[in-house]
Amino acid sequence: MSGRNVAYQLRPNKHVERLLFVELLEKICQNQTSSYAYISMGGPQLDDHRLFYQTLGITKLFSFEEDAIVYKRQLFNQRPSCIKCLPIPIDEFVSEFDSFLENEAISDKKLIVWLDYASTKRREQLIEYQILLDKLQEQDVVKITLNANPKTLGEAQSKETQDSLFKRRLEKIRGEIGEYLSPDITSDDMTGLRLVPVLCHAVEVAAEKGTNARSRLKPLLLSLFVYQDGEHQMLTTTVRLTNNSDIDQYKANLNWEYLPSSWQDVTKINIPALSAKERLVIESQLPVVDYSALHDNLPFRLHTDENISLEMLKEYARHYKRYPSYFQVVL
Amino acid sequence: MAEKVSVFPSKSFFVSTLTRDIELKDAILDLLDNCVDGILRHGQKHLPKNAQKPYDGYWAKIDISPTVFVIEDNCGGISKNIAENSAFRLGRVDVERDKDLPTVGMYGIGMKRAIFKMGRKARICSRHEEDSYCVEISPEWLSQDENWELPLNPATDTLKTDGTRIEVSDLYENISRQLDSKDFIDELHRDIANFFAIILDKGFKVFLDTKEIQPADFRLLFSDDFSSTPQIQPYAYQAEISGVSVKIVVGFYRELASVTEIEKEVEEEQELPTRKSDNAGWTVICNDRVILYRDKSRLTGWGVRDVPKYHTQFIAIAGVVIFTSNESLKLPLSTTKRNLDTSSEIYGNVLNRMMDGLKEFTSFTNHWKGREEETAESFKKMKLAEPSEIVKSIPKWSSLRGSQAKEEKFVPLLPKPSKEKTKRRISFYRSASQITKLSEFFFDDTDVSPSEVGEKCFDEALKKARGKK
Repeated sequence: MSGRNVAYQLRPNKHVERLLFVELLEKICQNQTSSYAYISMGGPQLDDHRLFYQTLGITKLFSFEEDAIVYKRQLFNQRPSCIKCLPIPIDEFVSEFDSFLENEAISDKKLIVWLDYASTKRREQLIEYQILLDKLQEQDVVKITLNANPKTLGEAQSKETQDSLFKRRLEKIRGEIGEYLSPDITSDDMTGLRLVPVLCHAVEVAAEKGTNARSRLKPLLLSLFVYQDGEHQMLTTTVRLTNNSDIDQYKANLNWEYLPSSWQDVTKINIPALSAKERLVIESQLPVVDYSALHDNLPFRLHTDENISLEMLKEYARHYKRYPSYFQVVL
Repeated sequence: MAEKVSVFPSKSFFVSTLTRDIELKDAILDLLDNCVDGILRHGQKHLPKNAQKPYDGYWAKIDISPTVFVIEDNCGGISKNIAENSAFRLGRVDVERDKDLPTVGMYGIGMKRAIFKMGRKARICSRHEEDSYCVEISPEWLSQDENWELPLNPATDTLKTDGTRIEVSDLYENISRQLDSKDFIDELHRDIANFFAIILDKGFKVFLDTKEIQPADFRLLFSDDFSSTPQIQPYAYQAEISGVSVKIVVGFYRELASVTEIEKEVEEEQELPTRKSDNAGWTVICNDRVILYRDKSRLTGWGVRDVPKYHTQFIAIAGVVIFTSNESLKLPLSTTKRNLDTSSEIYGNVLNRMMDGLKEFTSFTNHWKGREEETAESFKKMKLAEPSEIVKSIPKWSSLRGSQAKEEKFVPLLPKPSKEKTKRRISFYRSASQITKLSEFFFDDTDVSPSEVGEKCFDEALKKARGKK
């Protein structure tokens, strides 16, 4: 079970998260995009690569893809021409890292790598992330997306109690990524909400393992988001390899609203589904300081619970500039 | 004036704590380490004739009996000045000594610890240029807490060359028992052959009860023709990290094990430990001393990150890591010098490169599983060579991106089987008596291996099927 093939237009929360990544990269790159190269798995439409070219101006763009069908679609959809599509799995990029950079003449570039995983091979994914971090250098940025859907650890079988299901999930995740887990997790942690901090801890451990051979460098945590479109709860996190002595200064200069205070400080992206008319009514009154007053004056509610409705309004206000608009087009 | 309290140490405290954490074998190997450090000091003044064999002409002789232990060497001896001021002190006082030499002596404790481990009485005689003297340790001296000085007397029976002779007697009962055991002596022989392999190979001779010890073999397969790719070659890495030179070579020392060989080995291993896997694994060398021998544990990356745990199928893989530095404290050595200090930053860094290399060969082994015979031709073209020779032969190194440590590596492009699997593995269980019956039927021998019997059954059935067509 994965969200790999679900298009962006059906995943508004992923869309918002992606735009947040662009905003973060704008702050990181600071108009020096020519010194960066972007490496990821572009999917059939290469949306991210195109976006990073259009918004950030990065021209060294590489996409790794092991599925022959998806690769051929990439070649068909390739736009702009500076995207280089490679029919190679991302794990080969990680294992052949130095020779790849040398062959592509990008050894001198700072790297932005997005390991955009959707499958549930979490052990392989964390190991790849760890190995990649070991090979990256100061100022390189790496983002990882992990599937955080608890159903991927087991779904309830007929007449199975919740207790039994959660124990089964715990056993499965311990078998999968035991070395990255905190020893005190219990079966109670196997819910959608509580699985997120469990996986955050796992990514933190992988990041530490990947960098602990170099005492001077630290994986500075820059973003930690969770979002869910339909069934697909996904966790994303971005780190930048930073010199220990520069961390405080760098954080201060970055001036990034979503900078997590720790590996447990996760921001949830959960934008409400609104009609065009509802959006226009709300947006005509933004920005505001007093959300309660705005909420009270709205001629509609977003949830039967007043407090949840207010929170949904705030979440919309937080991301309305990134809110996707979908239109039906007759071709 | 304030009164004073005594903080004088008790000798029994030193003797019991110093010796508790060290095995007798390791204590004896420490004495050999001292011999080698002696050669290096002596070599400063008397340059070796052959740079490839810097230890040529030097020897150490160990004689063991249940009542007395003797080690004698011609490794330069200890000057009277050093003897009087530091060699017999418990702990190193002169940290500047040997600062330009790749020694492994770190704490100035090895000789004393070995003596205290073995017995109550010792006589240490040394000859160094004009100096020739003996120092004696007696059971009485050991029991006197207030006396921290030892008598140094001119030697009565001068050594024939510059060197040292240590004789320990009045042995503790448990030591006497070990020194009387053939098994212990065999183990010591093997450990010297393994842990001092590089030094023995470079000319040093060690005799254990008059038998000369031959060094262990760390050679790996490689081909000096690098022109064709893909081909089987070792992975290599070299770097200079904070004053420590590092070299890694990992690859195959033999052809891949066939499925039948693996099955047999695993079956036998369940009954009794076998030694076939003995040559696989990582050997770590610090300043010519082997400190970890053929290791197959997490310590050297097996079962860590993306590297699988050691299994008999990886029997053909071996690797060597060589650390060299004139500053022995920078080496990833534990205090016993026969193990790694895994917390060392330099080892953490190098371990990642070891795993990169190891992964190449575990993946290769897995890719060719069940098709091992297809790789046989490639293995035949290769020859065994010392890791240092392999490093010298590599025509083109790749640098590591952004590295501050002059890091370079050679990653071989290993052959991969075509993705289209033309062969499939068949595996099934049948009763032992049925297999024996078929074994006798086909081979006139009841002892043929189950997989050979299975293969024969398949071949016969296939012949029959083809015949019907």
